Amino acid sequence: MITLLNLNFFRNAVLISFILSILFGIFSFFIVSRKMAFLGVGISHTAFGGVALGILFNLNPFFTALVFCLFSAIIIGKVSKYGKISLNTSIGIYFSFAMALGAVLIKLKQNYNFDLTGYLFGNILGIRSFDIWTALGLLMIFLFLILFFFNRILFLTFDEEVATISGVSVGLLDTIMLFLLAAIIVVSMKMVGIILVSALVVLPASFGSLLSSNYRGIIWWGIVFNLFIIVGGLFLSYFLKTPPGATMVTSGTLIYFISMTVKSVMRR
Amino acid sequence: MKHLNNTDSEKILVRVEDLWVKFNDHVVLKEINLKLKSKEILSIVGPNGGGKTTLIRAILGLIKPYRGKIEFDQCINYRKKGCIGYLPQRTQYDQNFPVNVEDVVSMSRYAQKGWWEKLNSEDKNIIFQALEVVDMIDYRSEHFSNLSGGQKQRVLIARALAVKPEMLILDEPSTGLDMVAQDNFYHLLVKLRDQIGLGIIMVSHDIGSVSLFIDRIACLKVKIHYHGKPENCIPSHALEEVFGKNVNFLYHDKECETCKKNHDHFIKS
Repeated sequence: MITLLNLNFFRNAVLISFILSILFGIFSFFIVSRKMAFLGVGISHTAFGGVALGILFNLNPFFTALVFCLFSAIIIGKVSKYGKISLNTSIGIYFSFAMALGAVLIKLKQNYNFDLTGYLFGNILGIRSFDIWTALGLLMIFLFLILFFFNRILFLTFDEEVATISGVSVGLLDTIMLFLLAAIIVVSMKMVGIILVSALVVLPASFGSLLSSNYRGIIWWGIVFNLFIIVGGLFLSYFLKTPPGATMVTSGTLIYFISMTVKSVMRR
Repeated sequence: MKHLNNTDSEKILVRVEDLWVKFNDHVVLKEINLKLKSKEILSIVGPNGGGKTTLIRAILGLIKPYRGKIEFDQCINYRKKGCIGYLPQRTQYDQNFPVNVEDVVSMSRYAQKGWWEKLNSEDKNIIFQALEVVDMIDYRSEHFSNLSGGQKQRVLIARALAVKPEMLILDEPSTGLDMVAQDNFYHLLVKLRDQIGLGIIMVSHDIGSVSLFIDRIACLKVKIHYHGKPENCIPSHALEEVFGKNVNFLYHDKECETCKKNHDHFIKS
């Protein structure tokens, strides 16, 4: 174990796992409470189009994916608003478009030298210290927001309209949260992978609400769950020699289903 | 927002003048003239699709009018401290949100503070008083989703009161409540009017039982067909224009005999 932590790439992966556990643990509650789970799927899959843009123009895929995801988050909202369709329909249209665009762009770039599977399913060898610093920066911004704006965000999650009328800047806070979600997804892209990262948006709060009926409890249990499956899954993936993202999501989903079954059996 | 110049002792909280609202060239509201004074309960009644919710959403500033003006008294610093208390329709919020009663009321208190501020003892007092007024203080640690429909409404009224409003706007508050809970709820509104001096606008499709508790009534179907005191018998042509011809109303008025206030349930047709 100690020799494992001496490996530079693995230490980076452990650090980023801790940060992501906290970020997704808190975020998950707000996303699941607003029944916006599909938004996580939409934004993460959109990142594929962004990565492809980066490959095509020889830019850092992290930045192209980030910019692409931020734009997409805004466009998804606008399409839903002005096209008078539900948010889910808008996401459904947009994310398949972004993935298709990605596939077309990558084909345009002849003989690319790039670990595409790593981006799709996660590969901890790709994590650089740059990713750690970005994740740390995001954590700082997010903790600041949570520390000072938690109750306002809770209010708008519960009842958007009354929050607006009571003086909460709903539009601004919503946009900030959306941008942060996009950024967190892009940061976790390398480790968990574009296809699987949306599980981390949904699972923690779902698990938390099995154990607690209060928002504080749900968030704390969500973080504990994340530490278990993200950090634990990382070690497990090393010993089993399986892809880390896939190991995390598989074990997390199994834990969720087992807990759910145990709970419903105990209720009888 | 525009402010009214109130000079006389009777304070007008909000005045709506010649308000029109259109959705995609479809006229939803037209020629609306309405006012609400302090210490007054105004009920807006009308059929589904008559524009009741649209009217209060326009007053709340959630939708833009096509034409006309909405003016408030100086005491209503709109969307800031001491603003309007609002109770939305029950479908608008998550009935099973994982919070307790005190959390719900605290939320609107937090919204009144600066983002760097925590709640102080004065805020706690306001929250407790609000819960006391609506008779829910004993349930303050109870989980919100465990409450009955009537209790939830009371908690949300407390949340509205915690912004220290001069005016309350309630959208179909009696929907889904049984007769006893409805009656208790209307008595609570009377108490808020008489003890705190609030002006209250209440949207309702229940024209009958509401008339006992309110000061003025407005019948709305795109236009306002009647606006006045409920005792003065709503003219039958107004009821017909709003609700249609083949509807009978169980309705309280001066000729009622056996009710508490010497009222009977007078059937208009």
